[in-house]
Amino acid sequence: MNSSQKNRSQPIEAIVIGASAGGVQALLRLLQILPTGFHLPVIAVLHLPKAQESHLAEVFRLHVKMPVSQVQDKQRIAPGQIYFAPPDYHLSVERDRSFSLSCEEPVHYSRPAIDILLSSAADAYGPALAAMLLTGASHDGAEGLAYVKAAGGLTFVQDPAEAESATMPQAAIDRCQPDNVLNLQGLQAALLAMENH
Amino acid sequence: MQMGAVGYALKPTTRERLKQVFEKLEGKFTQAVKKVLLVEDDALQRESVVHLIDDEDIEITAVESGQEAIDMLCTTIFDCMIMDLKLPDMQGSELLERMSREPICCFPPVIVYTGRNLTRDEEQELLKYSRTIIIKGARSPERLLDEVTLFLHKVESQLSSERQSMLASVRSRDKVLDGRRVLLVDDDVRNIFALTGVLEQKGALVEVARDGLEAIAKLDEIHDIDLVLMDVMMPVMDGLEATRRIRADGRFNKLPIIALTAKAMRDDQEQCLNAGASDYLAKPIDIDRLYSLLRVWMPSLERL
Amino acid sequence: METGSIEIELELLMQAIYLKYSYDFRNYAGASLKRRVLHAQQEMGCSSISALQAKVVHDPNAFTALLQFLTVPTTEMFRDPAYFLALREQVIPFLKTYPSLKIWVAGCSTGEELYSMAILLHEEGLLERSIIYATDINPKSLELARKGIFALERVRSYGANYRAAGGTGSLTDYYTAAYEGALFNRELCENITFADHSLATDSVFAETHLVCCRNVMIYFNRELQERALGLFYESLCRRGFLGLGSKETIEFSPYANRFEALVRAQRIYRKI
Repeated sequence: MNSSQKNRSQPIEAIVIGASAGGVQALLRLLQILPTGFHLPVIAVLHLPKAQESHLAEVFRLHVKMPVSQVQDKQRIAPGQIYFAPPDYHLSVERDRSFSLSCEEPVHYSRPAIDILLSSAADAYGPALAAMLLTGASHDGAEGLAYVKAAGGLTFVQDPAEAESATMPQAAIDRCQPDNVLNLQGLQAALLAMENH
Repeated sequence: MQMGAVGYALKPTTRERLKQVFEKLEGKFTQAVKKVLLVEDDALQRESVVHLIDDEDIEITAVESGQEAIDMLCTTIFDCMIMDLKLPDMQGSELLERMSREPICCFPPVIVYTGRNLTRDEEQELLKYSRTIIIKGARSPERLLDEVTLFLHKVESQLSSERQSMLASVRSRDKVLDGRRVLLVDDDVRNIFALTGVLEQKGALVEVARDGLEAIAKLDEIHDIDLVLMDVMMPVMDGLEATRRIRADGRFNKLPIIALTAKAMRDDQEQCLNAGASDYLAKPIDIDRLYSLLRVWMPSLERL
Repeated sequence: METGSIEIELELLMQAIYLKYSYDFRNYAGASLKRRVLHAQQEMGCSSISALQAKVVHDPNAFTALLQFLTVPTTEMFRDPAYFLALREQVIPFLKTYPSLKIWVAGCSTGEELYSMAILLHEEGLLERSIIYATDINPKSLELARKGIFALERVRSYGANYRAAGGTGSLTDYYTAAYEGALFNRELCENITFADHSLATDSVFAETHLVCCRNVMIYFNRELQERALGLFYESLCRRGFLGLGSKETIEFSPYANRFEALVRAQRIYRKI
């Protein structure tokens, strides 16, 4: 199961997550488990129609215990927060561990793009990063996850058998052999374990 | 901020808040009651402006014509003047011009408050003598209140912002001049306008007097004037006489006074020095030369 | 995090560009700059960033090509219509009290935002008394903005934005369609001055009543953002207005308490 995790000496300092079709439900289930005092930042990119995306933070705030907010440009990443990308902007993590937004072209037809979040976060956190890809109908995220792995980060993919849409997790598995392929329950346990390192 | 950090203004939505902010910035009270002259021929407009800016420490004198305004200005010193352009006996621009020529006590900061749109030429003409122009509309009362309050509290560093569009644009604070107070004595409003801009651009604070007599009064009233720029040819009391009197007063022996003279002959310049001027500068004024002189004569910073 | 080789190459490239061409990208936000340089490197057929640097330093045409990759042209007319609506309803009434106006559109890119502003001012009866300064670092973008020709399909799609922004007529009133392009009316340009101006290196050039700089500063790091905000602060007249992009803010900068939020949700601020 979490074999790679047992051998790691590097504590995780940030978690990045990407999903698209079916992602809201999956992410809710995942994040609901985190207690109020969970002290790692969790940064998420969900592909949704623009109108829905702007309400993500509000929706999640009602159902999770951790504080939730939508990112502002140049905001510093604070511990114990859940962050969502604003609609129609790419979300990047800078090396000084602050956020920056941009309006570059869509990647795999998406803006915000999961690839952009994951690779910039990998540049900033290196092995101290955990990246997760959940259900989704796009290929966005596979390259990003490969990049995270190459930078020494810990990689997770939702089991395609369980995911509402298997495309995204499967593309990632094909691309880079992630450290862990788990169902949501397994992912939940993994998240909780990260803090205890 | 020119006067050093005394705290930033929070959102001042009420008149009281504005006053507090300016009082703090100013650091001192000059006079208790501020006098405002309102020149507006329409009764309803007059009433609404009076109602808008009325306050316990403001005394508003409202007149209906240009001539009445001039008469008032000849007998009273006003801290601010609000003027409509459409007056029964003359155009607003004409009133301003007459004010610059006639023996009024003091040329106050003028806010033009008009209902009609202006051409660029008209605007430039008016800005020679007025500080700001407000076109009447939905939001103009708010703006009028804001500007009046500003002028009444004489925050010079903020007044300069309108001037900058007439001058070269890059601001450059000169350490020597930054925050220093200069008394500019000249009866020609356009010179005052130009020189004030030039000085404020370098961060100096400018006090203005229209003649020698007013200059002496200002020196009495304001205690931290660092340097005086004194035009020689003025009505009422000319610059040389004023300089002599200032030097005769024991308090101002060390005060640098630079005479601004239209005459370039050596005798004339010697006359300035004999009257007690520290130095002189011939007109038309070379800005760089002015800056050099100011740097030379500005006393070193003792009080900071 | 240890500085990797790519980061070193990036830094050297920006330094080279600055030394050779006086364009200062040294304080642009790292993540997006890296992506765009890597993309340019690929498109321009260079094996590495260092190779790209060599090419660019020795060939001004190569630099011009690179410049097109470094500046992000994503823009649309009346983008974030709620912003324009807020300008119309809350800022314009104040602007109407000035006999003449100076407006600065900083980082005007290919001009969509600029023409949106001109249309708005025209509909509110203020265009005649306004001088609009349109500035950008990319001469090609400025040229396109000056020409005022946009893809017809795209312009047609902006109709909805225009209406949501409170447009009083129809967007079609303002352009003529020819072949695949929409040419915007030349009258809109009469009071626009186009100029090459860099927020990284240049100074204030005019006193303005309104500064619009939207989705430009997201490409800057904090230090450069602060410099830009400083320029805007200096340029603005007393109680002048500043409009930023929908997810930009002054809150993390030292200028936070020099402006008050007039319409916070639309990122419209007013100089105190």
